[in-house]
Amino acid sequence: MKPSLAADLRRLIPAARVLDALEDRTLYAYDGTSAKALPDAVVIAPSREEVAAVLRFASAHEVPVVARGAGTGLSGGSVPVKGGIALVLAAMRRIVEIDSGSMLVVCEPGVITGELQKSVEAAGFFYPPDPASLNYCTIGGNVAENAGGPRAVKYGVTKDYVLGLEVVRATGEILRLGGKQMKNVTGYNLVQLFVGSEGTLGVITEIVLRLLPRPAAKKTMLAIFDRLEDAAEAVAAVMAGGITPATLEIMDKTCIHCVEDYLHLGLPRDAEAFLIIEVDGMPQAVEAEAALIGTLCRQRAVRSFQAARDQKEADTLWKARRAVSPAISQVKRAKIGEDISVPRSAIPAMVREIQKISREVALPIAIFGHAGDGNLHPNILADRRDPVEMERVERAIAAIFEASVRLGGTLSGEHGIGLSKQRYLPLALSPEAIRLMQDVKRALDPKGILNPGKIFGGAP
Amino acid sequence: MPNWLVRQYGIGVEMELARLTALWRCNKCGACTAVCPLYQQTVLEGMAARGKLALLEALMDGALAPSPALRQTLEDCLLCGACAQNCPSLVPTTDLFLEARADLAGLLGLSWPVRVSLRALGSRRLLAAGMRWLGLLQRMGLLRVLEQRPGRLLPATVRAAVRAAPPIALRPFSARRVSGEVEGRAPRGTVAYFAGCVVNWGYAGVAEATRRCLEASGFRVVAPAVLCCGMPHRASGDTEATRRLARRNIEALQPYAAVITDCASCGATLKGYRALLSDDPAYRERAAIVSARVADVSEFLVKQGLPRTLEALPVRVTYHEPCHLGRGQGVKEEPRQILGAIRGVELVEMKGADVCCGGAGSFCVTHPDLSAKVGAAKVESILATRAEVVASGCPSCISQLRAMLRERGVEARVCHPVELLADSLRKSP
Repeated sequence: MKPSLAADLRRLIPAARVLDALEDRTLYAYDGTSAKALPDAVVIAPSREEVAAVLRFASAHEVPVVARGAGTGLSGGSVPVKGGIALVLAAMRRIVEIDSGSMLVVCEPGVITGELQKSVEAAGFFYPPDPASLNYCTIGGNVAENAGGPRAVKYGVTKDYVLGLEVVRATGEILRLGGKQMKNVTGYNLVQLFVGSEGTLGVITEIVLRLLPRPAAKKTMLAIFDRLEDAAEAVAAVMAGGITPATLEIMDKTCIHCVEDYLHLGLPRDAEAFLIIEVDGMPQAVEAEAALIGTLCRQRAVRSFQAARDQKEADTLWKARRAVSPAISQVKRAKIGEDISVPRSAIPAMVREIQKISREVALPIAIFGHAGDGNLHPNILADRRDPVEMERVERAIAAIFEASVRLGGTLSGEHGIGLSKQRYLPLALSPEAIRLMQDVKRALDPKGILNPGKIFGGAP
Repeated sequence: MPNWLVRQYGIGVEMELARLTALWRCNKCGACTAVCPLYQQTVLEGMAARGKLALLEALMDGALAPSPALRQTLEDCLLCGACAQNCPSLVPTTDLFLEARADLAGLLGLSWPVRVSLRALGSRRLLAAGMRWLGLLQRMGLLRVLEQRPGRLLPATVRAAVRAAPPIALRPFSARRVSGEVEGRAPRGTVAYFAGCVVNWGYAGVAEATRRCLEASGFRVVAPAVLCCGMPHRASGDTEATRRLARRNIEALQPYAAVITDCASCGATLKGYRALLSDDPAYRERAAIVSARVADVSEFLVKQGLPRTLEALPVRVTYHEPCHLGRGQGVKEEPRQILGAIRGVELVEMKGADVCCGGAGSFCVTHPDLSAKVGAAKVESILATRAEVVASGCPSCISQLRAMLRERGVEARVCHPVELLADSLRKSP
């Protein structure tokens, strides 16, 4: 703890927005993982100018700065492991403009993703990326972590929508990159360098996102399979059949059991997989695609196939999937969620691997995720306070990562590396690739003040 | 005082494992921030449940000491229950906060204004004396002068209290004629009317409407001598007083087959006596019996059949759902059914009808600025409906909504749903 840090900051920032009581520091020590580390001071920044002032100060005094939106990240990205300043951007929550003519939105980083979606929908547009936390995560965090979501299978992830960024560099210099152009090959694509950079290269203070027209119709389907392989075959058949569903979610047997224990919906406990499929677009196309998906599933030994006729029925079909999180929370005291991404065809093999690992470490692992794009979320259910059990969790995580890489996959699909996966980085990246990334980091942040200790661990 | 604080500070009893487990279940996902009215206004981590739970965890780990700052954070809470209801990990947030408030009250003590207020609320005699003084001061216009004086004659909290207080009666409703004869037919039974402190002294019109509606449905109404339900004591962490009041009220209410209240907070508290006294061998069973007999007036009327021969009341009404009625008691449809049953009433749902109005009992007094911010958001939702009447089954909500609408210069009637029902009865022969 540096006693003068908050005092120094209060010379630059109105005192009410610089917090350093132990209670306040405790409140900005965590994110959506179980990691926590106290910052030395917290600054609630309302504008790019104050962000720049904080960075100029931090650069001069070599104090770490950790940008933070809503603190809902799932890889420890906003946890200030090296102390320093927790720079809170949640109060920068203004939608600057919705440009209907150019179909884009300009906003500050603290805007809640779900609020952004509602605002653009009211104007007839659609911002597709939909991380599970969309009602409480910020768009700035989404850009910094390159967040995804179920709709990625058809619509891609955050990076596919970012056209321009305003970034404050480590030195405090305010930089504008990209802009409102749909096409732009003027120089290096530095916009994308900052997307997914986890706050290690700069602090994002404004974002330009492109929008799509809002789809006119949507249809939800639920397909239940006795065998996992049949479900996977059905997924492949749907994609090969010329349909790109908006979402294609899978729930494994453990999820089904947990939800049934929790809600007593009468789910078949002997089924191995649930697929929740959604198509969207023009009404006639949606109907035709849904019918074809039904046919394809029936050809692959589907046990039951339901298509919702209206929103109410759709909500019923989603009920089991939405209950997974509370249901698996009931089993043990905590769930440790992972985020591997494998080639789509490797999903059944990956699920089998995880089931094997689950037996080996004797901990339940519930698997759900985005079957359409190969991004799976194995959730290890364990007691965080039990060191012996947590040691088994670590073993399970390492084994899952190894299996993922072996099957042609990677460590993280949409959560980022942050703290929790940095140990495994050499599994997925060559030493040369890591070195190049570290060179980039050093070029942009020579003093290493921006979110130190992330992605690469100790030495950047 | 069985808990982790005790273990930490060596007062002597063993920890409550259930409570710890509940605390650990929070994985800091942040879902609570999306539904917390205070977080929505402030975007400050300490306002939402997640932050409060993080502080309690740190306290338990010994990383934090019980401090006034910690207590302040715990008190920055409407107790609206939205976080508990929307927690994906099912953390019983509000229960944990109330228990922690009690721990801190035990360790740090309560401030004198809180002690005096709770003491007065817990005693029929002191409450009556206090209310009469307040009523007199109101009649002399003294408070209004003090409130409006631009100077700093009164602290902000007292000014807020003066603003929020309804016109206080010199005689409470329960001291007036209550048990009337039922017009026309033989009574279907006798029900106990639980006159909550605020309704009893400040909203006689609501109490009167409740009585009329119950009688019109064929019930004889009596108002047994009861004490404060104990909600303010529980919210302040005064566990002993809460339990004492619960025991006295159980004794007073036990003879009756049904206990009806028109205050959402009292109703939720009375229904909670079962859980509150579940570890009290002498009162456990009685508490369970009485709690099971408690019903909100809307719940009771709808179940027993609404009184007939209703005159038309052509008004546009919107319904604000009190936290302690909707989330607290699961009574969501009945008040709307009552409003819908009144001929001529056009019921228009507002956006976020179940979002807290910011009144939250004493919160509007202890946190005037925050309360006004939350209230202003509610006013926006109300205005969007273009309703002439706002109905809500909770005196704290009614006070807050009246104050907030007045501040915005909006002419709209704010009343309890049973007042509208009683209005439509009044016109009938």
